[in-house]
Amino acid sequence: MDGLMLLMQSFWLVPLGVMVGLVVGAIPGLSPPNALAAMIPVLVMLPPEAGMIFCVSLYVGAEMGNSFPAVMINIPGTAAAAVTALEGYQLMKRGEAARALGVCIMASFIGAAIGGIASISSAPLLAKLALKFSAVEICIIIVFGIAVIAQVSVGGLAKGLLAGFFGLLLATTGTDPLWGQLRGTFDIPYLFDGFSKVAILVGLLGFSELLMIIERSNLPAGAEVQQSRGTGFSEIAIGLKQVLIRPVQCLVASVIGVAVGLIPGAGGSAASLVAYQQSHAMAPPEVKKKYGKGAYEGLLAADAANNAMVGGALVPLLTLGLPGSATMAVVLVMMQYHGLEVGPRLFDLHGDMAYAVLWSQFLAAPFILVFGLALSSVAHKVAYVPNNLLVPVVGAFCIIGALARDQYLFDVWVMLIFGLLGYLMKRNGYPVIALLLGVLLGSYFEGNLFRGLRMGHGSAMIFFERPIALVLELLLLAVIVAPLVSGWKRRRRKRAGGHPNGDAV
Amino acid sequence: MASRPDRFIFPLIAVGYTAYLVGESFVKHFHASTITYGLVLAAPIFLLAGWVLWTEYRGPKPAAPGAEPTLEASGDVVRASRRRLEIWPSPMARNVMFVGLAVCFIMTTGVLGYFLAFFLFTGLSALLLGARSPWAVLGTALGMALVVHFVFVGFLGLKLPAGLLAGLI
Repeated sequence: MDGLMLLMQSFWLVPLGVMVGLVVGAIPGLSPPNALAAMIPVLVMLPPEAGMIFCVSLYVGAEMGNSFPAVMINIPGTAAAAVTALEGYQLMKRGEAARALGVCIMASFIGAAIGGIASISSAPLLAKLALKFSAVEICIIIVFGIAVIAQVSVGGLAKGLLAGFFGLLLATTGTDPLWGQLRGTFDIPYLFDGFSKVAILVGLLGFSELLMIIERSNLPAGAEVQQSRGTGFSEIAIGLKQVLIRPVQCLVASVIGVAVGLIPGAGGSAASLVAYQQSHAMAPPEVKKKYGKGAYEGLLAADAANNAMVGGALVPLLTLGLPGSATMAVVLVMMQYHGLEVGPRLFDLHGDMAYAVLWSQFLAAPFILVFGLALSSVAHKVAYVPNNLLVPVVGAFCIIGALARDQYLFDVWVMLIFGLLGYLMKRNGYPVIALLLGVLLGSYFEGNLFRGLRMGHGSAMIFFERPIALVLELLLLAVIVAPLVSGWKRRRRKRAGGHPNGDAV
Repeated sequence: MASRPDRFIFPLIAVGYTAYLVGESFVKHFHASTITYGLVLAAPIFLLAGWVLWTEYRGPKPAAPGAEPTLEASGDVVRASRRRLEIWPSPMARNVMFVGLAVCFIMTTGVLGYFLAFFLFTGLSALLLGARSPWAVLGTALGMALVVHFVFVGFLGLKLPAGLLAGLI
């Protein structure tokens, strides 16, 4: 109840966040973490629960907004809408754009609602379980989180782990928490308190993405924008109905979205892909043929999953202090900025705040329906904001974001350097989020590591004596070893002359 | 796809920075626990960087431009056109100039002041990236400067240098 009361004080931020999120999601090149990183200077000025509620609402709105350009002009607003583009654009070419938008809107609403219910009901249970986690388990969880991100990264496990461990090392910059020695500061006073996490966040997620946009914008001549079609409400209503007559598919996709969101680092694109594949696998043969040519089942699965994922991503953040996605990493930065207890004790010490954030996702769902329907007729136009105006504006916001905390120009240098680093990483297949997680959680990791060693009276055997720690270590080993084993099997099959992937997907 | 020399940069940065931190801890005689923690992190970094450098040297598979490897990337993201950026044919040159403008911003903010610095950064970036309409460029640049002035400096109270316009704003 306290959480709901707290939410009501900042309730105006929910529709505002959803609205901004719809616009952000609809503009290809802008993604929720990029936009939130640019808005950090404003968000950190708000009370902590208000900033977090806005972030979650924006995230929910963006996971709906990314469908508009995906359907209308075959450009996903974010990577999470890639599957939406696959099916939705085919529907648009058949003259069923309005129906496709109706499917996206209703599926997103249901996914967000189910994600909200799942996170509200499971977070307190997980929080109680998380209280059994001591410093030892927390250390392993952090490494586990980085390893999972590394495992799902396109560049491969080694690159992911390298980025993660490098992030943990960068977090040691500044004053040693135990002995007060200055580490890695180059005798620069601005670094005595460590790198500005906000500047790193803005650089890695925001500025680097601008450089990628500039690089990608040199399109070949002849690429054409497809004609958009009109969108009448009666057609949209048919799309809404297409979701309502498929409740089981919607529910399954939403559950998959929540489950994938629970995995640190997975994100909306993984959720929508897995849900899409599952809906294809479960579909009867006559429906399977429609996949890739405009199948309502595939479209609703993708959209329900990527919205439900938001609820899943909230749970590890609020219970364990592990962000479930890049957007949640921004929320984590805000929590740290305000000095909130990050980890299992959040529900004990700031339970009303945690519940306010959980409820906000559930309450944002109806606004997706309302604003989505209102915007559907003009949705495609936002995709035409030209890059040559978008990039400078977002760049200016990145600079202001770096300046927001202490107004040191040094932090802008940090933002720029990490922006360049992030750009290099993205070009070469390194997961930026792994580095970011390492930086954000590094001091937490170091503190818990030494606390764990003190629990074991200086002996590292404590890490192998506690049952929960052992289970986590086995999972960690599985995460690291599994891709190596499957890679070895693939190479062996290839050498034997078979299909390298075995069963095709 | 042709291999790119920049694929070695990140692991070399990781190795170099790690070596610096570990060396510093020995030279400055840090406490044993601090040195040990540094080594605990350095060991996997050196091993992983070595492995990555070796695999990149043997058979590089550079990521396609724009392939963000983690969580927000998918395979075939087809982009229909935005307006072509016409000034510079080379994306790298545009990136270098854009970063250069950001550097100029940092170097000149103290003298010019935040209003002029943001105005010039936004306007020149838009021109660099191919915006042709003077009204669009001016409007965006002025709009950005006004947002910074009223929202961040005025409403949120950020203390930024006024520079040449001190006394006026």
